[in-house]
Amino acid sequence: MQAAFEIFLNGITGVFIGLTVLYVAIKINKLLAGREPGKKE
Amino acid sequence: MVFFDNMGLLALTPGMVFMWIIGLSLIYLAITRQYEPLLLLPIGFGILITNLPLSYLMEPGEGLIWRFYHYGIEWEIIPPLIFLGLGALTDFGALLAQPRLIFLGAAAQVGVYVTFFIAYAMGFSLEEAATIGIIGGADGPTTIYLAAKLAPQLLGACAVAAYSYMALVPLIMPPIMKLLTTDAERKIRMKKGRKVTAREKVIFPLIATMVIILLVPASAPLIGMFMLGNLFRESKVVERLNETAQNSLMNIVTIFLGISIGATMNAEIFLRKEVIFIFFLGLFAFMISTASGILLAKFMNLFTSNKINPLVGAAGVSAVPMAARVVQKVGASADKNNYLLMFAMGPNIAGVIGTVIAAGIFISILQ
Repeated sequence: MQAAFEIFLNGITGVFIGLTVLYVAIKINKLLAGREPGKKE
Repeated sequence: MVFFDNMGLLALTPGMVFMWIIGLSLIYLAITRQYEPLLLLPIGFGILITNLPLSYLMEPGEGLIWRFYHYGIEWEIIPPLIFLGLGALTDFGALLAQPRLIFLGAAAQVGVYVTFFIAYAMGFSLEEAATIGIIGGADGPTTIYLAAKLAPQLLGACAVAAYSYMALVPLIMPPIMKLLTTDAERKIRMKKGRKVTAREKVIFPLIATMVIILLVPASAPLIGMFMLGNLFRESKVVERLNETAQNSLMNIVTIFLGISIGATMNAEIFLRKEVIFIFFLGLFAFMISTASGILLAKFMNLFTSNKINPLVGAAGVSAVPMAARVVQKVGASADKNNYLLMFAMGPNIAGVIGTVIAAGIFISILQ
């Protein structure tokens, strides 16, 4: 049961960390490439 | 006479006949109700043909369908190729426009892990429990990929459960969505997302590949192919490859996938009480995933003035694009001018990525 609980915790934490990092990456991508070349916001 | 001795008819068992009924039922549902026909039709036929005695189609080293299964699924080739096609078909624009919706795709994975825990408590091994839990992600290729790696004996049952529930999304999700939201919440109109540039869309698959594989290396085959397919699409310079990945290749591997999955379901393996538990647990996983996406959207609304319609959270259970369409339909039943489809596509796609990460974590810990 201990092993299952550890996988449970690792899994949920891992998924949220993974998608949070992806969220940050999307934000950085927006800053770097979010404007069409030659256009000002 | 030798002819009579070699007749399959003499080796027929009641279990085989029962499996014919299951196979024919799937074929019937695929043809008349159009429930996931691209998968359920070949799966149904695979079930039928593998339960015809003395055909030896799944005989290791000899059988025709065994070869499809062995080289396609056991060698882990077909699910990543399906992901290549899915990537080529996916537009990440909705997710890039409203990145906060990515968390709804993460919330939907709660169902995967809760079910994993319950399945283990019910007596399944850790590997089997992981395979059953992943059904809640509502992602067929990921379920098959994980089952082939961790619990091949459950592959057929888990795949059929996943595809059946994906087909039944319009029946399973709306009651949960209505139960967990008020009429006022269902009427929330979300603000339109910003315009996403072509450059962002090209860079995203590259960044996502690096970020996800650096964090969860075991997800590399699926995420790598998914993002390569998307790069084909967004780069706009390899239209032939993009078109092939979306259509011809996807169709070819779907044929081999469907018939191989069906053929794993012979009566001896399938007719066990564990399979009934798998179907119940799979449904439970699906329901919890739907609910947790909605509840996280409601929770996020406590901290933001730019409200999220909680129905959108239900789309976190992959099942692209069916889950997003159901969100649109339920939203429109509360306010017919409320267009939620594009917003729902964000968590829908995030759900696919979330399920792959969840599978990768299972593999890295259990294998």
